[in-house]
Amino acid sequence: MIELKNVERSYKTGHTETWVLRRVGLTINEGEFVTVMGPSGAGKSSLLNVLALLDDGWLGEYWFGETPAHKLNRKQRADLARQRIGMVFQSYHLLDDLTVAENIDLPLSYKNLPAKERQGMVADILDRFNIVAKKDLFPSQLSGGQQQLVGIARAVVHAPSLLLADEPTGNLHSTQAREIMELFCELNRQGTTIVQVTHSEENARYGKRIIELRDGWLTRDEQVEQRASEVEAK
Amino acid sequence: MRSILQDMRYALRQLRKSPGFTFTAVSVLALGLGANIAVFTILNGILLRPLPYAQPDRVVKIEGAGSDPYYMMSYANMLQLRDAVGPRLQIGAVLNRNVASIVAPGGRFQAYHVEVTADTTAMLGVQPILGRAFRQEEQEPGRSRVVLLGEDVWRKFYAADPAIVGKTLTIKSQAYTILGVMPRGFTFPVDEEMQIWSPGEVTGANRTAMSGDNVLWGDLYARIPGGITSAQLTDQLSRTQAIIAKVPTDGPPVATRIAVTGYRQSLSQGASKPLTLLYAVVFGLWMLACLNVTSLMLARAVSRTREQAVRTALGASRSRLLQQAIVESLFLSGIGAAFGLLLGQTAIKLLWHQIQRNLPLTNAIHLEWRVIVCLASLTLLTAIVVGTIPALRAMRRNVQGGLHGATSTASAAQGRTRELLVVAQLALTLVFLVGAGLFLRTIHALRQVQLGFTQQNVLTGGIVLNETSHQADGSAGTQINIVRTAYVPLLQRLRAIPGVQVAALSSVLPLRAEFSVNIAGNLDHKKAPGGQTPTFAGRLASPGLVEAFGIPMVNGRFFTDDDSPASPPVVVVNQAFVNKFLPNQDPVGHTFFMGKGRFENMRIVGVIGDVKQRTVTDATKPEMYFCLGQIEPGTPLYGIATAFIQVAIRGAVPADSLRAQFDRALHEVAPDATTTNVKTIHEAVEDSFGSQTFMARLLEGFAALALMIASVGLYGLLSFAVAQRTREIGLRIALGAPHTNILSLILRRALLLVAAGLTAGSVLAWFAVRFAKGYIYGVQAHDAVTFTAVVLVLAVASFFAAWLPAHRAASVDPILALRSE
Repeated sequence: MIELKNVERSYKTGHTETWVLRRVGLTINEGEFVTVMGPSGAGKSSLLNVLALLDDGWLGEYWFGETPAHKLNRKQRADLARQRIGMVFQSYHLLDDLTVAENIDLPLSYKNLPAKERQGMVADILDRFNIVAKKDLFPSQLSGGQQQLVGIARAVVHAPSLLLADEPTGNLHSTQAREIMELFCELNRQGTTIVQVTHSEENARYGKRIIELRDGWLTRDEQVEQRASEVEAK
Repeated sequence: MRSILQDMRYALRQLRKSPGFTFTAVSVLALGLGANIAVFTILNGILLRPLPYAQPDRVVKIEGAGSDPYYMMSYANMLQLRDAVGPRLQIGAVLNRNVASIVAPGGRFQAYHVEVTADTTAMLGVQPILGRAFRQEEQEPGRSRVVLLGEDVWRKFYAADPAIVGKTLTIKSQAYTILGVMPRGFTFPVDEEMQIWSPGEVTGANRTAMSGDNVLWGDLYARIPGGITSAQLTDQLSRTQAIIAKVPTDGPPVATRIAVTGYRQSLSQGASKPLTLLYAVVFGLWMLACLNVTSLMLARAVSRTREQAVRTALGASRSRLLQQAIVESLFLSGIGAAFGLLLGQTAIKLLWHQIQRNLPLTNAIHLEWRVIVCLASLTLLTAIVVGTIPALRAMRRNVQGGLHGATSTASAAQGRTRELLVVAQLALTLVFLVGAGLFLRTIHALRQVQLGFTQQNVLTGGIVLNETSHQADGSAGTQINIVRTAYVPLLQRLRAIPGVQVAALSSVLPLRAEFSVNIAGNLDHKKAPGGQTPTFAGRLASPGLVEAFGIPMVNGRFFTDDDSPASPPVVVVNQAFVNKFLPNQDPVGHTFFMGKGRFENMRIVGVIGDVKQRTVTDATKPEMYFCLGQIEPGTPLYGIATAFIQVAIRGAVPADSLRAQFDRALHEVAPDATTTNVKTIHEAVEDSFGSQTFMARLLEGFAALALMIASVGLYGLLSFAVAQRTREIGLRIALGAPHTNILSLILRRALLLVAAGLTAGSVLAWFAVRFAKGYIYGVQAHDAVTFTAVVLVLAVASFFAAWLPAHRAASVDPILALRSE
């Protein structure tokens, strides 16, 4: 589904150039649940931003399915991201002045869908995530876990092929974190390809594959069969 | 449409959530838009609104032109011009205008009684809504006692009686049959309310007399025929006029060519420049308001960095984000416009007296569709201006930085933009302050001008009497002498009022030239040098005028009670008359000839000092006073005595205290008389400063507003900067920075901005003041004192605006500031 070839990213500050991604080559198949790990400054978030098509300053090749994202212009990339990618953030990034339902509807409102269709999609997601009762509440009225749930609902409401999560449980306590990760597993089982960035080994075990970055280099890429089989057994 | 509704709901929520920001932005926009709409309402009424005639741009005023500054036009001259072009040139003339005192079912009122030629309404393309227009034969002697009422007269004083046609009203004891009612809003000449019209009486002799006793003077108007331009009409009429002028006459000089001016243009000529200047000023105020609110929006955008980043990450396109920003700013500017409209109309009401005094066509000033369209357009423009820059800036930010809270680079760029906006505000404010300063100095200079008369304890006022009947041919046979029966008894009663030192009557008082007449005649029966007949302002006056106003006698004497109809006719002139027509001569003893009869040889008996006549700034023109006591029916200028006279009462007590007694004395003599504009001469002097005082007050107000807005802008910018740098400041203090160091950190930046603003503003003001040159008096446009004072005022205000945030910065608690570390 996704193929990166020799992707590089650097930032120039004055006369210094700092490399955050160095010749990263990566293939992610449809339906995979990939975890990206590494120490601070390894380039994890940078890689995620490249995958999310939020960043334009990288070099190399990025194939999203058959589409060469590296050949698209800014607008085309944004269109592709809007259609096919969903993002979950560590800080949830819900808009404080929108209700739960409105936050979930936000990405749909940028796709020029008919209002009825949007309403239907939002209602489905609210139901699926069991948050119908909270649809008119504002983020400040929800717990951290509930907010992240809404964040995930917003990310998947338009049925993206790829879900990217940047430290999705970083601001949650363990119980909430577990619930969120199990939700990710469920989404993955239903066919969503997931790439998560995390420091947590515990969270990493929910995925099927771990990629490790150090100083911008991809240093490890291995399957994690053990955790996946444990989850399935449950 | 759906997305716009969504954005509107969100914008409303956002504005409700930030009441402080919303209040500030709406207030500033209301001031900027309100001032704009108020001035545009005035400008629309005076310059843009079409006159109430058919195809008003084709209606022109036709005047004589030539080497003299002013020409009167006789009816005979008008007919010759009309005949030269042919019947397709529709003409109409105003032959006479008086203020008439009328008793109607709805009460007693004063109306402007305008005598016009019968074809005037046809020329204007307007028909009565009731009854009919004048017929040509109603101009014949004995048939002209018919009248058309203005719609306001009919409505207010006749209760809009639908059966009004055929009824009568009395004007100066003469019965007039009401022929009809003109449409609502119709006025001719324009800018007078409460008008009634009658056909002017025209005899056979009037039709041919270019001078002498049978000449009939008037103001000529015409409708430009189709297929001819104004320039072509001017050429044609001028060629005819050149031939007419070649025929010698005994009367005043005849114009050698013709000037054709659009009627609206002729009315608003004096007002268009000051109004345009005023609109430029309020436009500047609007720009200032936009700069200020844009700055506020930029600061707000910084605090919404994360939101914009999230929206972008969720798929919002640039145009979508821009739309959201414009919708929000449209909300703000819409609310600001609503309040601004209220403020603007209130301001017009509060300043209405000044507006009426200083501008023409004021009855056309009111809210109408053009004003609403202007407001709507300005509201939209405001929304785009204040919403676009912050939105575009926000879109330049990198999404990842926004998501992760990294705003330093974005803030720095936005901070520079905000600083630029504050510098621009300071610069504009300086321009306003310079303008206000120059006008204030103008008013001061005007107040220093020597008026030539005293202002102390003098009450003045115009009176309109109902003249008793006179025969249709104007003979004196059965005429009652209004001077004997009304004016002399009135003077006696006024002089008898306790506290009154002097009372006098005159057709024109200093700086109260509401009614004036130009006279032409010969001195000592000789032709004047250069063949030009002396022309000057003619006045009637009773004894006591010079004492009432403390006007010095330069030579000879003024009128006394001994000057009567039986004694030789005498006149008094002013120094300007002597300088122009009798230089280096003793004027006393010279005679003045105005036509054969009793007033054939009028002897100059005195010279008075020059007084300011119409305005304080104009040089005094030659004038000649005729003794009111020697005027009687049948003598020249008796018509002036019956039309309008003014009273001057000087007391040993404050003039205001004499108002009631003046009114009582007048009504004891003439119960039906009405007064106009009773005020002290001091008030008349203040009113005569007219447009300068008006402009000065407006500019003072706008400058104060601008100073407030700019100071708030500077304060806001520095407060925001301090808030952004709280951590840094806390760190500095924790590392040992003294209080003064932190103060100077903030004040140094402020000083730089203020210096930049003052410099830019001074340059801008240097060029801008040239537009004010025509309005200022007694001060140079590039007056160093004004510029210096303004720079100091702005510097001091800016210092105070900067001090508060600087002081707050120096008071930052380092522990609180560094808590997150």
